[in-house]
Amino acid sequence: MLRFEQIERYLAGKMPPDERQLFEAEMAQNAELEALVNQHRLERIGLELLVEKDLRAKMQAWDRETELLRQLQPKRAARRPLYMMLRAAALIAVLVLGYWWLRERASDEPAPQSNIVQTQPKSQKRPSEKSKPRIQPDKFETPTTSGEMAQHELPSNAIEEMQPGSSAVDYAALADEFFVERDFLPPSGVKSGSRSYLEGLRSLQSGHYQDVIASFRPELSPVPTAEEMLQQELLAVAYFKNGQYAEAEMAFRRIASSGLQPYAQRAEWGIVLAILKQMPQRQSALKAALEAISAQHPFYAKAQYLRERLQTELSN
Amino acid sequence: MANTSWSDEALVSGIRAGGTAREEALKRLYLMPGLRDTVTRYIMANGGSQQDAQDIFQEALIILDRNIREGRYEARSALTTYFVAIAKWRWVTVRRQQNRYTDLSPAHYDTLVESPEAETIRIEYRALFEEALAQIGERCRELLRLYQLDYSMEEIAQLMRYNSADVAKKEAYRCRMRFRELLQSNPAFAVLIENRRL
Repeated sequence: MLRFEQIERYLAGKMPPDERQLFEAEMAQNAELEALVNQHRLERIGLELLVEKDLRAKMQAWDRETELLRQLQPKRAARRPLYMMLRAAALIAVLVLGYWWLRERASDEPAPQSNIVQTQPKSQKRPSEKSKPRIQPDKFETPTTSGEMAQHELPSNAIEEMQPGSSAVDYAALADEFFVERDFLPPSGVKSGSRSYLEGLRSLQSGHYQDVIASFRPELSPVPTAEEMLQQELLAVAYFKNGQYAEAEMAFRRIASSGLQPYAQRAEWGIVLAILKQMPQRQSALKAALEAISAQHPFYAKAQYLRERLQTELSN
Repeated sequence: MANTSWSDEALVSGIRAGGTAREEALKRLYLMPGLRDTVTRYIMANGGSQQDAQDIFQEALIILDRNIREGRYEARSALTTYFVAIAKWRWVTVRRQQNRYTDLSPAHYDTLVESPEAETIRIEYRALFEEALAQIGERCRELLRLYQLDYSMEEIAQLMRYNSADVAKKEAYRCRMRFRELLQSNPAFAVLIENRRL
């Protein structure tokens, strides 16, 4: 084992120059040692495949994040003129009403100072809490750089306002609208992954959800691996597509509780969608799931957009 | 994320530090505005498709990560320049393998990889390595990946819930020996050992 460590330190460039010199001198005279070093070197080339595979999975996840942000951009752009017009209209209305009110007061009361004190906005003249998000279209543009501010500005009471019996909102349709397979799965045609994973992926993409459900066990080992995470993702998506939302939620929760990224973050978004399918009975769970997606979360922009949609639907 | 720029030093030290710092640095490079476009323009101007460009861009990041970790990047040029050079080298290699680039020699880019021999082994014996890795088990794979990324035994023990660094070390050794046995049991690897000197 000592020799093993010595060779590894040598190949990793962690040997001090004097020790390195001695080691190379020994290697020059010891063919057996030289062969062993060569063996280590070849093994290390092979082990790099593990690092490469992991990095490829991460790059796929980063692409998915970028794609979802891109998906949101046209909606923001389309809304911008409306927001600006609403903002301008509200400003003009406030100015006109303020001017009219001041004039009225000036004609009624001789003391002008009192007007200033009394021009505190009347509650009915202020824009309602619900309309606030509509005049802040920029909130989507910097979900990560100004997260705290954006979080503060965004509606936080949409979920709390929901009534258990409320059926005005079509939560299922909303969940379908927000559920994008690419958020959880690689694109079709991908060839990297274990055989069982690729078979599961093909079944899922062919709509054979039961096959996927039958193929993977709904559990994780004590120290879950990336491969297990991928399989659980397949399982969660299969449950979701098969209409088994409680099971989908549990599968996503297993992934999220592992803390392994990027799977856990994707799963946190999956939990939101699975709960959304179980609304309106799961208000507090939905609120908690949305709150778990903080400003630094890759699905933050999407979660915030969902909040806004929920608020809009509830206010209609 | 993309709004905050990182210096080359920060990116390099992040990759060398490993763990989440490495991941964050690589993500910033991967999503760096303009970098992908530069590579895509080059690939497409030299007979490649959009998909080729995407593949080469990803491979360039894998090679850059490895080169930095193994101390081959010496900061003689900006990191993005180095990255683009790797992508170009990789594309030249791919085209040469397809016999479509006979007029261009990759000699200019030789400093971008550990050695042409190692690169050849990586490509030619990939299936052999993958076969052995597939048989060592998921836990061994994860342990050896962390080991390869230079995590300390204490960190590995913590991440993989071993009782101590010592246990993790023994386990890493056991996994490595298992990997070696599997490789050696393959006649193609014996030939490789016999014929190759890196």
